[in-house]
Formats: sequence, C-alpha cells, structure tokens
Amino acid sequence: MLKTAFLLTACLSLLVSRFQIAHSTRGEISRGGEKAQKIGAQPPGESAHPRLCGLACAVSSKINALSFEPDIAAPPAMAARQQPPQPPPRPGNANELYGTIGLPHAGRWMARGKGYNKDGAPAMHSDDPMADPNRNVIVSAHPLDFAPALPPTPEAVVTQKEQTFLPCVLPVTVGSTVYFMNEDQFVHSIYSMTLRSIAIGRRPPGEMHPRKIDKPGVIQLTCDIHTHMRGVVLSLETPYFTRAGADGRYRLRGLPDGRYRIEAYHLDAGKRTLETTLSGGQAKQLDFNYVKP
Amino acid sequence: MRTARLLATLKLAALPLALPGQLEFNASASFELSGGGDKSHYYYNEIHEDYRGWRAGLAQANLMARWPLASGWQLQGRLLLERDQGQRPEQLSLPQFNLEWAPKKSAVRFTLGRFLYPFGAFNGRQLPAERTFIARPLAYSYYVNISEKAGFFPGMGDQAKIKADGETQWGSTLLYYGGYAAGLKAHWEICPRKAWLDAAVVNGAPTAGPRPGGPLKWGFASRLSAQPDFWWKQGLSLAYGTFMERTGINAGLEGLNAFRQALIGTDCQFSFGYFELSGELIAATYRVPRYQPEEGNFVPGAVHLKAISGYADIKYSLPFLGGAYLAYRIGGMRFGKIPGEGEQWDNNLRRHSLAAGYRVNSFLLVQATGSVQQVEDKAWSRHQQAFRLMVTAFY
Ligand SMILES: [Cu+2]
Repeated sequence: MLKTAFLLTACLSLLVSRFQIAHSTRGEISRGGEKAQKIGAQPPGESAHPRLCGLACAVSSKINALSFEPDIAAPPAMAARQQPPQPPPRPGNANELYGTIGLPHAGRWMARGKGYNKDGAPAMHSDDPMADPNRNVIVSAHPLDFAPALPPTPEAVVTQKEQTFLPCVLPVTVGSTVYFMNEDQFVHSIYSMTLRSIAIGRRPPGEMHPRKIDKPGVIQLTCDIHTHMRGVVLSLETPYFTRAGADGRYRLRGLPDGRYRIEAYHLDAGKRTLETTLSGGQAKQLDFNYVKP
Repeated sequence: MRTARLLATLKLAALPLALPGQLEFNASASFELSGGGDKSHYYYNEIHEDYRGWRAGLAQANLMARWPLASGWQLQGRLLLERDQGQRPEQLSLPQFNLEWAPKKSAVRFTLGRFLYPFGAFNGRQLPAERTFIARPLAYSYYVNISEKAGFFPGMGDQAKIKADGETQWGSTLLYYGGYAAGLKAHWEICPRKAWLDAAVVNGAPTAGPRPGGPLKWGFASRLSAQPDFWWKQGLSLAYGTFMERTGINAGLEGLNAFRQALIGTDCQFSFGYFELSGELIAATYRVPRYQPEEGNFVPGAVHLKAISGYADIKYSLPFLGGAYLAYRIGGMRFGKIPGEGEQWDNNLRRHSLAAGYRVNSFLLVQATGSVQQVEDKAWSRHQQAFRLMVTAFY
C-alpha cells in the first residue's frame, strides 16, 4: 500500500515536473545524477545508470533523485535500503585495479543480424552510445576471501527508447530494484527468460515499473512486441564493478586486500575471467581482450 | 572524351556496390508435431490428408540475410525450405529477395524484387516466431471454390474432382499464403512514427501467388497503417489484380486477364497491460469464369462472387511467467450467393483456436495450437480438428 502511494506520488511529481524536465539543461541533469550518487550506496567506479542524453536522462535522473531522496515519503523498506553500506570487514581497502579492454571490432565481413528484416520497415534502433555493446563492457571484481556487503544499486533504470534498451547492459548488485521505463510513443513490454518474474505487460509511455532483481547472473531482457530488442541486467554478487570507458579503459578503486575473480562482460562477446590478488594498497594492471586473432 | 564519360557513367552505376557493409544473417528451423481429424486436408486445415495421424518432423527452415551495399542501398533475402503443401520438407524457395533504396533525408523508400505483399496485418508475420498461432488465419489458408486454372465451380475438390495439368483442382486461398509478391514497392512515412503508406505494382492479385504460368499477371496493392495512439494500431488495405493462368482446361477461354480479384481489408491491434486484442476483416470480390464440370466447358462471360473473412485474437501474456502466453482466435468466412442461382458459392465456416507459447531461452520457442472448425452443411465438419506443437530454434 505504502509502495503504491510512493509510486503514485513519484508519478504525479513526474507529471508536474515534466515541463520543467523538458527544459532542463545538461548541467541540471548531471547535478541530479550527482545528488543521487551521494545518497545511494555507490560502488566505486562509474554510476550504474549512464548519462543518457536528453529527456531520457532528465526523466530518469529526476525519478532517481525522487526515488532515493530520503526526505520524501519513502516506504520503510526503501528507506532502510538507503543506509550507507557496511564496510567489508577487511584491513585496507585502497587497492586499485585498472586496465584496457581489447574491444571486438565490427570489421568482420559478416555477423549475426537483428532478426528477420521486413522490407519497408527497418528495425528501429537508437544511436545512443548506451545502445552500443562496446560502450557497455562491465568489469567486476568478485572477492574470493570474504563476502562483501551488497548495497542495492541506486539509479538503476533501464529505458526503452527507439525500440532499444538503454543502457543495453545495466550492472547492479543482486537484490537491487531496477526501474523499467518506456520513452517511446507506443507500447513496449518487457520479459526475461532468465528471471521469469520480470514480466511487464504492454505499458504506455512514461510509466515506471520497478522489479526486484533477486537472482545473480546475466538477466536477459526482451520485448514481446519488438522481438529484435535485447538488453541485459547484469546482477552481481559484488559491489565492485564499473563500466569501461569509450577508449576501453577501466579503473576499479577501493578494493580491500584479498584474492579476486575479475570478470569482464560484453553483450555480444560474453564473459572473460581472470584471477588476481591485491594487497598493500597496490595499483595493478589487468587487461582483457575480446579481439579475435 | 567519350571514354571518360562512359567511365564516369559506369562509376556512378557501380556506386551502390562501391562500399559493401557487413553481411548480416539470421536463421531459424521449426520442428512440428501435428495431428488432425479424419477429414483433415491441407486445403482445409493445413494438415495434409496423408499425414492425418501423429507426425513429427521439420516443418520449415529459414536463412535470412541483409547486405548494406552503400549509403541508402541494401539487398535482403530469405531462403525458405518448407513442406510442399504440408507434405515433405523438400520445397526450397527464395520468397524474399530485393534491393531497397532509401534516399537520404527522404520519407520514401523503394523496394524492387520480391517483397512482402503490402496487404493486411498478417503478411508481416512470416516467421513462426512472430506468430501467436501456428496455423494461418482462414483467409490465408482455407481454399475456396475458385481455381486459377479452372475458374469457379461448386464443390471443387471434395465433390467435383476436376483435373488440370494432372492435379485435382481444390481452389485457392483469398490471399496467397506465402505472403510475398514480385514488383516495385514504395514505402512512405507520411507522418513520422504515426502514419505510413505502402503502394506496390506486383505480379498479380493477392490470390495469385508466385506461379510462373502466363499470361503476364499484374496487380496493385496498397496499405495505409497508422498509430492513432500508443495503444492502438490501425490498417487499411486495398488490392486489385489478375490471377488466371493459361492451361489446357481453359484453352478455349479468351482474355484471361479480364478476370480479376479485388480485396479490401482493415486490421487493428489494441494493447492493454498483459492483453493484446487484434483482428482483421477482409472482403473479396471476384470476376471469374464459371466452369461446368459435366459439360467440360465454361459458361460465356463472368460471374461476380463475393466473400468476407475475418478473425479476432486475444492474447494474454502470463504476468508471473515471463515469455509465456495464452491466446484464443475466432475466425470465419462467409460467402455470397451465385448470381441468379440463389446458392452460396462455398460453405460458410467458423474456426476456434487456442494457443499457448513459451520462450524457453533466447533461441528456443515452443508453441502449441489446437483448433476445431465447423463448416455449414458438411456432416463431417467436426472431423477437421487440428493440433500442432512447434519448437522453433533461431539464430
Ligand atoms: Cu518493444
């Protein structure tokens, strides 16, 4: 009941602020993002929700700011989740991991298509960088010697825009709530073949639908109406993850001493795994390669 | 000078081929377990009479490719292996193969070759994975008493067995089930993301299909589709053309292209939460020669015949099981009277179908459909039930 009231309040606020949102500037957008980052238990590295351009970002940031703002009427469950994360019970947490991802290039003469191409109706696809699998390589560090605290990831929003999931890969800690949104002027649905509880029916533009990601792993997303749409929620049992930059570089800071399994995930090319040990505040380089020889 | 001009012309002509892009391909294969009632027939319920019992095997396989040639130009095609009229999966064809040109900053694009027949909502759902039901709607699958070789006569196939080119004539569907035609098509986005118009000059009326026989068939088809609101899609289609084909049985019949088929159709789709309501209504008129099986000749002139066919689907996606759905379809056909005779030119019928589907993972889909149909004035009509279970794998 409280949750419903909260969602209604959020939706109303969204409607009221829509005009303002449409006219907000990039500066305001990133402020919204920063605000939410301060409140939430932000893991080291980049924010889970990328800086989507234009209205998508504005709307998402506003909603995230609303959702995670402690001074608004949040339900108790949600307020509890906003507690700062418990630091892992390990000495030293100043280690750093950095490296480069060798990104797969699209230079091959043939590749898997986006499904059956109906003539006269090319599959719509967004040009947003967050639709590009090469801009959505996620690197995560999984401690092997201790169980880290898993604070829910704030700003966890997946939007459907121009028949594309944005971002195409969203990393979250397992147990987080992801907000699904439709920003097209027609209905979309969402369902997952790996987490069947994600079954959001045909829903109008502008509505947010929260779903708890209670299973770790690659949670595939698709749309019943536009079968070429695909996306992933990468549900991680670690708070240490980041999205590599456009240049393929990544950096993970604040890693406690210990052994780690380091994973890189690419939407098309899958997972690459390495193991390493960090101690004494060291900065270590670890590169991944998706380039086929 | 002349050589230079010729070279320049050649260079210009070769422009679309100058910068080929990445060849994209997809593939799918569908395996089917099927069974039908005692009076099953491919022309009635898509179950071939020789395979009425339980049968399992490959139903169809597809290889689809798209090749961007240069800015705005692309080649696309679909290679299909399917069962020839429900028999063995030995029929290989290239139903789609076209060159598309989308001029930059233009709302119009052109397609030359073999493309989707721009009529109705169902032609856009060619692959099993895009269909809620495995079987096609009646207008696309039920053979009526009009054959492209023998024209019209009552009781075609089941009562009057007339052969043409060694084959018993069973009639034809209102729309060729393959859903494609050859010709030139223009696609115009009238209002961005709100309204579209497709218009095409094709090789025959919707019923014609890709048969190679003469005389040269022609047709015109157009479809206006719109999205008035986020939850509502609406379509309006028109098609007109020739369909008769010259063969021994109609050797004495002059002016085959004077016989025509015209179709008008409307379709809609409404989406609400876990429900999707959709349907299509198609009215057909024919100007067709009347064959007299007893005399073995045609009545001079043409008869005008009318029919109407429609279906309504309701699909429900299970909220607790992502990727699963249940659906129900009611479909029917009604036939007008033979002018001057007071009898209907075919038997009205109604079909009820239930379907369920489940997407196992990103490359496997399981679907099941069961249907019963009642044909008016046919004692055996209740023996045309059909069941199909299909597993489709795609890449
Ligand atoms: Cu969609």
